Amino acid sequence: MTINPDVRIKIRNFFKKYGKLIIIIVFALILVIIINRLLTLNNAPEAPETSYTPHTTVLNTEDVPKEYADSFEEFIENYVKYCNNGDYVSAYNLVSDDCKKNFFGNSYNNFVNYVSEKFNSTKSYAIQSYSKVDDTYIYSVKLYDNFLATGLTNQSYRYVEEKMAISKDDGGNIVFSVGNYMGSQDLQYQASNDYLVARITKSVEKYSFIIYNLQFTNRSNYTVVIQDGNTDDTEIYINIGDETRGCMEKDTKIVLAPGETKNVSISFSKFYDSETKVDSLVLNAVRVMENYTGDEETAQQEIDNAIYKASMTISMQ
Amino acid sequence: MAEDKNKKQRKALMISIGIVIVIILVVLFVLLFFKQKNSVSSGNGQATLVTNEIEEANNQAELEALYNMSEQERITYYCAEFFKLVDTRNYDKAYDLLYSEYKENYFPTKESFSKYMEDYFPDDFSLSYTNFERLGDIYVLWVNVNDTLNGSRGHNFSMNVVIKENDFNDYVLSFSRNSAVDSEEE
Repeated sequence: MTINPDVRIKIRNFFKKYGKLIIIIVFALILVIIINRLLTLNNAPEAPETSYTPHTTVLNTEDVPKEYADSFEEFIENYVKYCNNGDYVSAYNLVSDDCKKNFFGNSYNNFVNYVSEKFNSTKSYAIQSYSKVDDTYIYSVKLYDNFLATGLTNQSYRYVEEKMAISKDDGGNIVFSVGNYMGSQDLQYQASNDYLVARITKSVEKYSFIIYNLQFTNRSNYTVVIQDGNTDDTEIYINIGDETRGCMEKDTKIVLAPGETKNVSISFSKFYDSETKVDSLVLNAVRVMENYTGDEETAQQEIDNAIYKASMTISMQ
Repeated sequence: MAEDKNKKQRKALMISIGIVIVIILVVLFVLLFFKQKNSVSSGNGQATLVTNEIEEANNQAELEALYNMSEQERITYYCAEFFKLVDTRNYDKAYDLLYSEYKENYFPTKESFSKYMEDYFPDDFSLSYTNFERLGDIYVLWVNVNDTLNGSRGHNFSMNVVIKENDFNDYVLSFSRNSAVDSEEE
């Protein structure tokens, strides 16, 4: 079959003239098909989107870095696994020395008592990065029964939550504390007068409150009353930012006999990740009395007859 | 002379447009051909293949719908799907969706599950949700089961449903077994 030379020339001319245009159109068409295909293929999300983002920090904008997130999660998982399996020695070994000393009093038995109460049955857990203070990440860890295995049959929806602090030391080792314990600090703040020396020797921080270890020394030959609940005023409080917060142990009587030295732990509400610092601790109703009975009925008369009544501030700045 | 040249150019342009249209049509035809070829079969396996195709299309449509749902919508959808299977007496399929440890605890056999559903669930029911919580990677739902045939005089009760989603349309669940039993005995 021969093609008419005239037609052949026409076709050749046509392709000479419009060849580039045709190539561009065909190319564009192929491109559209490929893009369409790719878009259809990528329509499916990789995984269901959920609100469970354990390493997205709730209170800060700083999320847990990827290189930390996995090791932290694995560490907490191991802790829960050991506790569930009753391998308390391994669980105790994961806890930092600081936490062992200042929260469990370096007592393995204290740890076992604490853990066995929390893990009274096999627990599932959910972690959530909660906040970050300096280089320490605070996780909120919720412990609950395996609801999937029971369907909540004869059970109510309940979980126990505690904060666990986790960080890495200079050697890259994980430092881990449990039981809402955040850290402690030795302090040396002091205030004194002719009758009383008041020292703050240490602070221990739990997630939602701070404990101060105080040492009081009565320098006089009289009874010194710091707190006994017989005044209308808040007897011990802290100045924190623009507010004052009374101590949590309002019923603890702090009364010093002549020459006596007493160590007392007093706690105040304060979130560890709050940026507000404690400015001072105030002993608001120090009373020096010649005759002190502690009797509520005669209290006002005894206060009226006190040798010395004053407020004493221990600055922490 | 120039007019002749213009005429020729116009003609050539028309031809080129024609060729492009033909190419597009050919491409579309080829695409259509391959698509049709996938759904056409011969011999005895044809009916099965068509059924599979329909099932696959339905699954795909279900997945497409799930992709566009929020987290809570997906979970309540799973819950509804499970109880739809129960409502339509498709107990085998429903049983397969139960969490394995839960099955061991409460329904060791399919028969025990079927019997429980027959004994304690209304013949016809609808669900309404009163609360929804996420705890880690599990979801807890508070569900009212409403006896649609007998209304308030029928067997209405509240229960918990616990769901874990592994992937889209891939989940396991459990429910508070005694909720239906206790309310029946009251």
